[in-house]
Amino acid sequence: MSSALNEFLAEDKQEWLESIDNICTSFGDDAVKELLRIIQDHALSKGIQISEATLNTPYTNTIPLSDQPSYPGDLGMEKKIENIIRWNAMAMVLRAQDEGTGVGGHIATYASAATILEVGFNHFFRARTEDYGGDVVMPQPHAAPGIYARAFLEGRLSEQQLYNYRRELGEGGGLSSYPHPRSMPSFWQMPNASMGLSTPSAIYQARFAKYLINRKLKQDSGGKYWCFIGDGEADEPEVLGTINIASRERLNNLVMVVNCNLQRLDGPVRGNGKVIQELERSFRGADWNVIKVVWGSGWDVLLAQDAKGILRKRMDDCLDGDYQRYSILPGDVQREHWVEGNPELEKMMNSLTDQELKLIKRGGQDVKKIYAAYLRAAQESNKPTVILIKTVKGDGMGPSAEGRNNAHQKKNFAPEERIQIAKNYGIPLSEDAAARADLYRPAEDSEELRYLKRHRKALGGYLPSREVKCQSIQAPPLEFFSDIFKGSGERKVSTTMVAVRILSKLLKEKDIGKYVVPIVPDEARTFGMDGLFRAAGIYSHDGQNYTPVDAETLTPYKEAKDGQILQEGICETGAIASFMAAGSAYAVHGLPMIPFYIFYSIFGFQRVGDMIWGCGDMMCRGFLLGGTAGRTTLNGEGLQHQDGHSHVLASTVPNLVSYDPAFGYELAIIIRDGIRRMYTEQEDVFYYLTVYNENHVMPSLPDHKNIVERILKGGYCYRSSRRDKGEVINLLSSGSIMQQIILAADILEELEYQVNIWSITSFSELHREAETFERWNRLNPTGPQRIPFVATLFAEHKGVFVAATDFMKSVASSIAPWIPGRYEVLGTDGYGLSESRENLRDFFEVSAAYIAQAAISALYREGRINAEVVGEQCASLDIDNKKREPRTRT
Amino acid sequence: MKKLLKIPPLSESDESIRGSVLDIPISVGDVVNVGDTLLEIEIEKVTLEVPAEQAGTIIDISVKVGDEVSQGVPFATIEE
Ligand SMILES: Cc1ncc(C[n+]2csc(CCOP(=O)(O)OP(=O)(O)O)c2C)c(N)n1
Ligand SMILES: [Mg+2]
Repeated sequence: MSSALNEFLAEDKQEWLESIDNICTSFGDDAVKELLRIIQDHALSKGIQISEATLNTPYTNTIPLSDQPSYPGDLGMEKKIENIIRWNAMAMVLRAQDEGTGVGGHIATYASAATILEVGFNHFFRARTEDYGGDVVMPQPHAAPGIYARAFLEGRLSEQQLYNYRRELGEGGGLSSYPHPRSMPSFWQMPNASMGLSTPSAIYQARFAKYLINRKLKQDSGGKYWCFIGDGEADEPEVLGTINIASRERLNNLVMVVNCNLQRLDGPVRGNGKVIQELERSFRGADWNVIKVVWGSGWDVLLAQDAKGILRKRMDDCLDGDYQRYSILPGDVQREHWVEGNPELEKMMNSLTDQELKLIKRGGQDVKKIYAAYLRAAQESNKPTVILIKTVKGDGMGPSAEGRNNAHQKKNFAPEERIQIAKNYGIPLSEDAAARADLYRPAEDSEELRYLKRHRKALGGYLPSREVKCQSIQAPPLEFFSDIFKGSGERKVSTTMVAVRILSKLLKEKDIGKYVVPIVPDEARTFGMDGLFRAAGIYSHDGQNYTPVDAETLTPYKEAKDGQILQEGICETGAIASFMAAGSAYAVHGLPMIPFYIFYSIFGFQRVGDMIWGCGDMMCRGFLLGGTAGRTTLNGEGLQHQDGHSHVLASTVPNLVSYDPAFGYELAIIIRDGIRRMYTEQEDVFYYLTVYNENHVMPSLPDHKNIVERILKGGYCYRSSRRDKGEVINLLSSGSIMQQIILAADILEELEYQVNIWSITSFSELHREAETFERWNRLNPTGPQRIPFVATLFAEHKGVFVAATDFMKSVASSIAPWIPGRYEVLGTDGYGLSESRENLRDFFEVSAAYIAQAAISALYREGRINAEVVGEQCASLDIDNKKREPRTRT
Repeated sequence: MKKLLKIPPLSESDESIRGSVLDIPISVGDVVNVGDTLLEIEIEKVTLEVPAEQAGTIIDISVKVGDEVSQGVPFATIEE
């Protein structure tokens, strides 16, 4: 700024401010807003770029000293407790390191977050009680040691458990590296380990709580979601990519805290910029309450003296990379850099000694500043709040780590360093004990423990804590689906249509209907779900303040405050986060919500696989429905739409039960049993079902013995050979390719073979059970051997076997060891392409002709027929046996 | 008072669109309430439900499963 401008501002600024004050007193806030808008529009019309200026506030605390509440806690006592926790959090990582097991651990993240977490634990985070809904606290994953160290003081975790940090199998129990409810089901509330995912998880949890309240399934008795993330983590697209919905849905039950220690794993987050200012712009732009906690109380006096804004300007101009360096410099060098030849600033800073300068803290090291921010966030408003807190990475870890670029990975300290750190923290351990990194817990009746426990008691109990109290519900009886068991007569329908029909019936079921949560990411019409809009309604916390264009029809786009369908828009991340929220409601809210998330199957596992893994961690329940499944069944859509591999990915999730049903009755039986297993028996599983858009006649439920049981176990004989002479061929299939199998059976019967058709509802269930039994047999070779279901299924059947599905060959190949004869597997390995369904099936070699050819070929190679017969019979199939392999298409 | 019930608009923009009756969950003599489903119609692979707009007793049903219907076609008579 030029000095002329400085002078002008110094003189005229006050006048401007006073006139704004006057307008505010006479006409209120709105008048000021309007005036500023006029001024802004005027400037914009002159071509002046002001976007940054309007979205950013100065690089100072949002809450001025004058608005700072008094601190309700005992500062000295809280510091003592914090230091003990800091020590133990570090000691458990050092111990793990010293053991030489190489299990790792992090110290620096918690060291930067300790104070911001402690203010929350002492004064804000409230547990679930009779009259309070309960907070969910999600610390940064790498700060987990600090959370364990606190629970140790609280008496919730034992010394043994802490010494077994990252040794979950350790004697006496151990602790998982990061927050994993699956590993510690009575401790962690939410999974958190994969950077970026906690933000959508928290946002959609907060929104689902509102959904339950608006649908009158849950009392509106409060409960906040406190989500802590790192400033480096904020670069994950899931973070800024999902914040808009939080303000749109007015999630005043959500508080995000960004721990801005200016560093990530490798180095500075924004060396050349200012991460706090950048995040402020993004969150303000998304209409959040933004509270910045940049400076500690030590700066208050200096800022008060800064009438000319010299200090503020320096604060604004200084880059994060430099701030990081100042945190490691001695006071005098720091001063030299900070004042940078600016005599006025130098004069201001002269009121401090070098030592004092070094000691003035960042906001995140000052409980009073943090308390002020949390208090404001906890107050009623109609927006979500983000608190951007400046901290120091590795704070308290000493000169070899604090603020250093290697801080994140630092997990070892020399004995002298350990002793020094223990001294700094005031830990009354002997030097030997400190060098050994012993844990320290004050006596049960010590002031420290009494203080800590008293504060938690006042806040309703300990957190994090997971407690499941949820009623069991009954699945409807099989007869409930009798219309589906009847088949479709002559009508041609798809399994997707049947799935929607089942959903629609369940929504109306008198006991469990209210718990059903249909979730779609802007794909409802693709799946024919628009018929559900009118009766179930699309959830909208605003209700519907406009008349939908299709209001007069039977499928109006009906939004309602108590709407049941979650329409997520084009956001698979959001939709799966809603699934996670609904699927874990039994634990979080004690409500047996049953999510049905139906999506474009290729945009499931490969798009949001990490979130699905998180759902597994959180022990979610519910149904994932991959619609438009099958590489060749979804025609025309091409390479990045046609899914022939989601079942391979699904098989990697250990407690996910997957099925690929061919017929409507299978789907109904599977869904019913899923409800029974998850919601009556409370089994720790969730489901993945693929449904297709190929229309065909749905047969009625065959009247076979044990059919229901076999459908659930993974396979049954759909049709036995209608001939009793000829070589035997067994055709196995699932999903839509079953239609090709049926055609192939006709071709082969015409050629006078005996053909059995097997519907394999789940290759993966057959395979898993078989592996379980094989493992048992291997470990117990001399005892009675267990025979897996898949082996018994085919035991009496001779001949050759051919499987064909619309998925990669590895899906059907997985049961090969238990097939009692030559087993040929056809599948759709390769990138999809834009073509007709018929051509796609020929291209991927899963059409009836290829299936028939595979059977004939198998018989020949088994020596059951001769070459002449092969030549004759294959000629009519019109197969190009020199065709390029589909997997290698360029 | 008796009232003839007719098929409501089946599409936002196409009055001539036809659907086929998939299910008739009511029978003559049934008492229905507002919102109860009277007919299920399948149209372009989507199942639509025709809800009762008034309460009353069904005294006549003039369609059967499988019939083709379009907007304005009478399908039942209700008595308040
Ligand atoms: C998806 C994902 N990518 C990478 C990692 C590895 N990782 C863990 S912490 C971390 C750096 C975290 O930096 P920041 O978010 O700033 O947190 P801080 O420790 O500085 O508080 C990285 C890269 C991870 N856990 N998850
Ligand atoms: Mg960081």
